[in-house]
Amino acid sequence: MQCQETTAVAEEEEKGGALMEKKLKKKTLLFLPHELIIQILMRLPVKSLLRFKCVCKLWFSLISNPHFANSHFQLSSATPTRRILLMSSLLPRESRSIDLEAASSLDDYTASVSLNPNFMPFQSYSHIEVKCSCRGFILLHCYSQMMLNIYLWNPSTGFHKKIPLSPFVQHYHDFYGFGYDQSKDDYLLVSLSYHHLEIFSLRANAWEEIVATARLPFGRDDSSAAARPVVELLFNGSIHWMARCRDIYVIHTVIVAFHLTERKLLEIPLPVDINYNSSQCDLWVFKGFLSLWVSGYNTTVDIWVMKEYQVHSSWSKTLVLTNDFFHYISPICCTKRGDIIGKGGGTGTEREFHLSLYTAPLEHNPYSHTARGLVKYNDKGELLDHNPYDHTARGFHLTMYTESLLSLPSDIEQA
Amino acid sequence: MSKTVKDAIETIPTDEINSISLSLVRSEILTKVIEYCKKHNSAQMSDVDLMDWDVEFANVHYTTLFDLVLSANYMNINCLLDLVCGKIADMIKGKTPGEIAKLFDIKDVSTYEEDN
Repeated sequence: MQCQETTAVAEEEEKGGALMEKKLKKKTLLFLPHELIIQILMRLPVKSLLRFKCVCKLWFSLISNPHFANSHFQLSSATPTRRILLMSSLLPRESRSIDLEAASSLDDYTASVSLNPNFMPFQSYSHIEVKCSCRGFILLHCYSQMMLNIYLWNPSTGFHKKIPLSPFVQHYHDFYGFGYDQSKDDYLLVSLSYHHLEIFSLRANAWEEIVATARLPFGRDDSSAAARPVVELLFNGSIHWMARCRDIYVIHTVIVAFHLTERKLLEIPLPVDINYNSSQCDLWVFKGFLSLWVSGYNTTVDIWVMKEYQVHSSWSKTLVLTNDFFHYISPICCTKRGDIIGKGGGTGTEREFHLSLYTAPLEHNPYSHTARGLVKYNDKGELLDHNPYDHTARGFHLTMYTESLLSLPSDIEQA
Repeated sequence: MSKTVKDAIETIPTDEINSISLSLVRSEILTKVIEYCKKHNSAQMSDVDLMDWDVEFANVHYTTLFDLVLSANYMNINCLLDLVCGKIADMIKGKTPGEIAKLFDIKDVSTYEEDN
């Protein structure tokens, strides 16, 4: 490494220098003030920071400080390192975290680590779904004998919290979401259905029903073969879902968004030229814009981008991805270099289908979330790489997340 | 570029300025700082080339980097501070806690067990 050569040369020069000079240099090292140590620590990755907590008492207190965690997150979110967490939904359970920036190819296992939540009876849940993430926290839905258990988990620090179920909703909620309200430094879980809109505030540690000023949406028609999972998308301070709304006699497919600070629902129209009943589609963020991917009967996936947020006329089709390898693909996120990472799926095995019906009747869609592998395209839509991670054909859920040192407002770590 | 120098220039009447005292910065380091400022103020290089130049500039021994960090902080040059802190972070991120303690000459090494 060039750095080591320079070091070797400099060391040679030092040895040749006067003893006084050496003493002077050594003295300089001691005089690094706290604020400069913090500036250096702020630029370290989370893994290194966790390891350096035990360097000395000062570093332990600097790194453990919640204000430091906040500043560190702010700085790193300018150029985030995205990781993907893969977790097999059924037993025996495996999970893996892949560093998208470090991986030279999707086969590069040096960039992936096995990662298990060590706080819960991980192997005792029959069905776990990794849902979504926000600021380094991952939302997990865990099923044990048809009972749902909700967890928030920061895989970088191990911090976790179990979220109580809503006292209002006893039945299936079509939409769920997890996001951050910057104005109150609060994290919110959102549960939305045709009848209810409610939120769980981490600060208040309680569910609250919200009177919706806009019409409430309902989910997709699950009996149709083209039924899709309703995944939330956190963008621009709001949680977005693809949904259907009834306008007296007409049913529209729209984007429903919940603004986390204003705590209001609003609708954003979708491009008109698409047959939403016969296509697979969903939302994601592409190059900083709200984007829609649409997959029709052929093997291509169209990418639409809303160039101006909420402005209907600004929808434009910008890219087409070809899919030759998996049964279907859907884009997830972009790397720093601008490559598109997507998940590839196939038909679920029969065992999984029946099991999912039993353990998670709330989402019995065989296409629901389960992926078989990952794909990578460049920003022109050319396929760069594909990798079937799922060698046992059991399928896994995944989410993109970033690493953070953050902890939740309620600040209680459960054993 | 240096807020410290800028402030000094702004507070002292112009006809009284002969030199600005930067007593905490050694001459070799000041030379490097001036080299950095000159490069960044000239409009000659493209952004990409400037980034490459920055990488070469920061490719020095720890002691020089620590001196640069102190000088950039004292002279209030944010972009240089950012560059050098980033470089130091990059160089230490893979080290063990013991190596860190040795590098930063930390005496009160704690006996904390590592979390996870």
